[in-house]
Amino acid sequence: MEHKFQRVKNPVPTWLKHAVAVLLCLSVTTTVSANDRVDFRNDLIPVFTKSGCNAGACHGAAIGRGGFKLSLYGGDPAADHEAITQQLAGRRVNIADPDRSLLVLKPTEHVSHGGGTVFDIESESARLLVRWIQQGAKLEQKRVLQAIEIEPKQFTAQKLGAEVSFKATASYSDGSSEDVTKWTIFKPEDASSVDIDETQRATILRRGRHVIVARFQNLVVPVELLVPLTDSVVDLADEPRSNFIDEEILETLGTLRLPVSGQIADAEFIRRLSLDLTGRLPRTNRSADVVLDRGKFVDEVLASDEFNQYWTLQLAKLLRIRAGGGRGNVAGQDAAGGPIYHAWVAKQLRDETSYADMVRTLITATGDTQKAGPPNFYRTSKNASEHAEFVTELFMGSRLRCANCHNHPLDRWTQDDYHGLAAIFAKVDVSQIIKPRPRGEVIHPVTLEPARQRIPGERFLAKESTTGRDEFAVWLTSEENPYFAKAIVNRLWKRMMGRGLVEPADDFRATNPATHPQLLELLADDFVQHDYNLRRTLRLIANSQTYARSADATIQNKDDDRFYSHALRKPLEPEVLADAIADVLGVAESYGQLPNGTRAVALMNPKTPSRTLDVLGRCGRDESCESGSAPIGGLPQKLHMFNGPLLNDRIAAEGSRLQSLLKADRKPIDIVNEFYSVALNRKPTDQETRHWQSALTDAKDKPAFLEDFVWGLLNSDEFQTNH
Amino acid sequence: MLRPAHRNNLGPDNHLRRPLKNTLPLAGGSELRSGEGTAHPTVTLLSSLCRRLPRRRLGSIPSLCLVFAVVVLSTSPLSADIKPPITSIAIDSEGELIASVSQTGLAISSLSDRRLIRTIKLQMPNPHAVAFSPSGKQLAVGGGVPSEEGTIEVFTWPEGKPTAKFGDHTDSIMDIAWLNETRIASASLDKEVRLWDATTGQPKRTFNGHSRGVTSVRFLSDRKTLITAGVDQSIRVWNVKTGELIRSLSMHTKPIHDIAVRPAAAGLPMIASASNDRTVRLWQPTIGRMVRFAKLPARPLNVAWLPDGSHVVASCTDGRIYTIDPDTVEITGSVPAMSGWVWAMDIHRKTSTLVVGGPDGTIDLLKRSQFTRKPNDEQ
Repeated sequence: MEHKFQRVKNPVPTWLKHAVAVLLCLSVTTTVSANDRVDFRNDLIPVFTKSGCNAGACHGAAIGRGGFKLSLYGGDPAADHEAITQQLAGRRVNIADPDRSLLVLKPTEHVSHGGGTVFDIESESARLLVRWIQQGAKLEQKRVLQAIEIEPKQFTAQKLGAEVSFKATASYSDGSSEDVTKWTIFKPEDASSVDIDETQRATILRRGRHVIVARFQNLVVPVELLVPLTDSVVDLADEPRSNFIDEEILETLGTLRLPVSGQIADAEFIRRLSLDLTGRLPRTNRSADVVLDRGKFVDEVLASDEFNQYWTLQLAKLLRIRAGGGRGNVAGQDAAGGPIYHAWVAKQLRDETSYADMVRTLITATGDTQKAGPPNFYRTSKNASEHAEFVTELFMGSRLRCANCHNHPLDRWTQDDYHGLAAIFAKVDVSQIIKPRPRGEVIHPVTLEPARQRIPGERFLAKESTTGRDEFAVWLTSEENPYFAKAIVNRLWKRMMGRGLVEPADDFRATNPATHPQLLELLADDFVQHDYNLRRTLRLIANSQTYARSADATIQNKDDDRFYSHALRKPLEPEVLADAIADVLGVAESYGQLPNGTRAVALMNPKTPSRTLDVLGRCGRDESCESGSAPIGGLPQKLHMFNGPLLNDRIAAEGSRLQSLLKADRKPIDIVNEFYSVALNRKPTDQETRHWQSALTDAKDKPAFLEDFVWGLLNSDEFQTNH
Repeated sequence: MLRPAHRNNLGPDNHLRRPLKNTLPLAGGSELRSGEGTAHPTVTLLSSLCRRLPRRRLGSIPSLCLVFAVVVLSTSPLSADIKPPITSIAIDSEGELIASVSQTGLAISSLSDRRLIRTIKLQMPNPHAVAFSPSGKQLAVGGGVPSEEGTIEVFTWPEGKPTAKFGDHTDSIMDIAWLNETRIASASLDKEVRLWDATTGQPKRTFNGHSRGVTSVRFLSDRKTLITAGVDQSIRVWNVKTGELIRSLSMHTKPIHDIAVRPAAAGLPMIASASNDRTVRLWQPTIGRMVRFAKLPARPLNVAWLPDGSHVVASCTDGRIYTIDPDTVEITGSVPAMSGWVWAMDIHRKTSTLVVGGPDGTIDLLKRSQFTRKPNDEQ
């Protein structure tokens, strides 16, 4: 040991020691200083978001709060930096004395703050803010956030009260990653179903599937928690399967331990399919004794004129075809253009034109709106911005409109996307002759300059590009487009099944995942592989066992409203209900000046005068007709059905079915049977027959009783829904 | 937790208004604080410690320690280069000195070479406006404590001796304007405009009407009319004597930062306003008319007239100075002045030399021939 203390001969020169020491100092201090620098975007924006400062209820509101506005959830860090360090002569940060900065004093409530105490002066958040100001309050960014990964991303618990802790890891452009769990917000879509504590631990409070949105900076990731709906194991192995739809649906039901309801009888299937595909009650001349070839029946219906007529209505609603607008600021096709547009859509459907081709034609349309259908597409919205919203909601199932005022808080869309797409449509002259308008522009609200044309989420177009619509149409309808096919097959699914796989159907986003993501993928892939054929997808759905499931729920699956363990009862839409009432009563409805007997589903114009359709709650197509914006029926409809002339003036009207049957001296019970057949496509059950016979026997005024019977039948849930 | 309001409690008696740290004494009683060209306190402290180490016993360690301190100085995030922006600037009546304010206080510099002559300690942490009285014998600074109080501090000139401190605004004063040697007006973010007796500090009149903070205040040459502008995007015209609102002018679509009265012009008085909507608008406030406007490539922060009233000059967020012909609203000049927002600006009354202040405490001078240069003349 002694030799250690001996003086070393030939020592290293002193100057070399000093040099090494200096170099060491340099490297250490440089490293420390680089790591200690506070990165506004990556370190501070998460503080604001975690603390709720930039939420919609606080400074993230469209007009800010208390004169201080931050971008919603930090979607625009540069604007936030400007608001903090530059606005009002930079009064929010005190470079000379960072502790005195308003940015620190307000959230710690050392100065009166409308939002109360957000964090403590000694907290890590406050220390970060002060350190950043000490460093000059710069916008500099060390690295770019690339992705956020949540563990676990999916969690299945076997019982209520189960707990799971989340971990969030951010990945950056420099290859580094960091545990950012404490700066990540985990928010359940339904706060009553999942409780999340301060340590990011979730406790599941309700059965079912729950989505939690994890947010770090501008990235959001959905996390799925699942607790089976029953405790008993459900064996669905023997359930029949017709195609991949059944496979996917049954797999999910098995995971959720949801037993399925049985299959419906042929008569119910016929009524269900007829109403879904043709919008009318089935013809009653089919013998109940012959077993139905369902596949063949589906093909027959899909090939019928009634299908074309009814699905023209469906597309017309989606495209918001209407007549009588088109002047000044009033959007809508004019009286001449509307019918031409409607006829064009009907022809595309009849000819089985590929949906992609149809959409491409619409987006690139030019020409006289009074001579050709597609140009009328550009007479739908009031201006280019509204058209961008309309197009993205319809063809992409995305609510781009949120990005008008701020970057979409729950999706990828930015203000550049919104105004960039609007800029493409601004280059269309939307007078009677639809033609390019090269000088058309919209002003970007942030830059106050004309917005650059942009394919949303993709790329800017050349500044003077005159082919924006063409480029957008090609991108939109390409096989790789992640939105286009899914948006339409989801709508087809919704029409047939009563609920979209993604709901609302115009709100596709990562944080609103499909109930059956794989099924949606498969349906979209199949749609694309079969040349975007609408009938093909409708046929697939109609032929599935899932579609033919009974609407009668069991005790175990009665609470299921989205996993298709039983069919959902769908209220008949106003046009279909109006036609069904007319068919059952045998009294045609009149619509404006149109010939008596015109069917409601054949009306081109939703403004056609009709008290009946108004009462039943038809959609005017000025805005989206999808759920939420145009609720069907409701209390007014019920009251009109009960007390109004819609039924009461027509049940016993001259020439009505009831009058004709009474005049023909048909037995009352036969009349009952016939109305059952026409309205419900079935015979009365034995119990019902006994009931009606008994009641008829007791009735003193049989015609009056039968009027009441018909009234009751048409007010029944079984008549007014497709089930 | 919430500290009670203390509008009239202007002393440094609470923990938030403790004396500023790290001040180094200068000759003449003035103080130069960190961020004004000296080492950062961390470095100063480290250097001091290094010097105290026994050199004889530790050999080269003290030297290495000093080297370490220097390295820290050059690489530390707490670098001495960090300076707050100049928020307001004014040239004295003699045209020799510049008074500028920032969060480090009031600085007096030479106009000829921008050399810092001295600093004057302010009680307010956030000064936003500096203005000389009409005689040039008084200097007032307006500012305050954000979200708490707005105050004015008055000094003799050129002595720099404090003579008054007053103000009961509940938020910072953003601009001030002298009416005469005894009256001064303040525009505050508390939405109010007030007229004060600058000698006694007594409020003489309050002008209420703006719905949001007021950012600019000026008197017309008749000294009977007060013009104010603010975050509510409006310009308001007031009767100084009665405090009555004469009219409100609302054409701007974003907050207004500054207004300037055209000097020495025949006919109706004219003002220019600079707004976040990227326009400089010209008004005839006495008849409530907007005459015309110029759209700029960037947001104007300050606006001023050349002494002969021939052009409007605007300093902008893109660091440039734009010169606008008020008759044609054509941009006749555009030059870069500094990197970043040009927060402060004043024009020499005789030579038309432009003084600008901005980020990092920088001050720059531009001769008239420089800043009126046409955009195409730029190299």
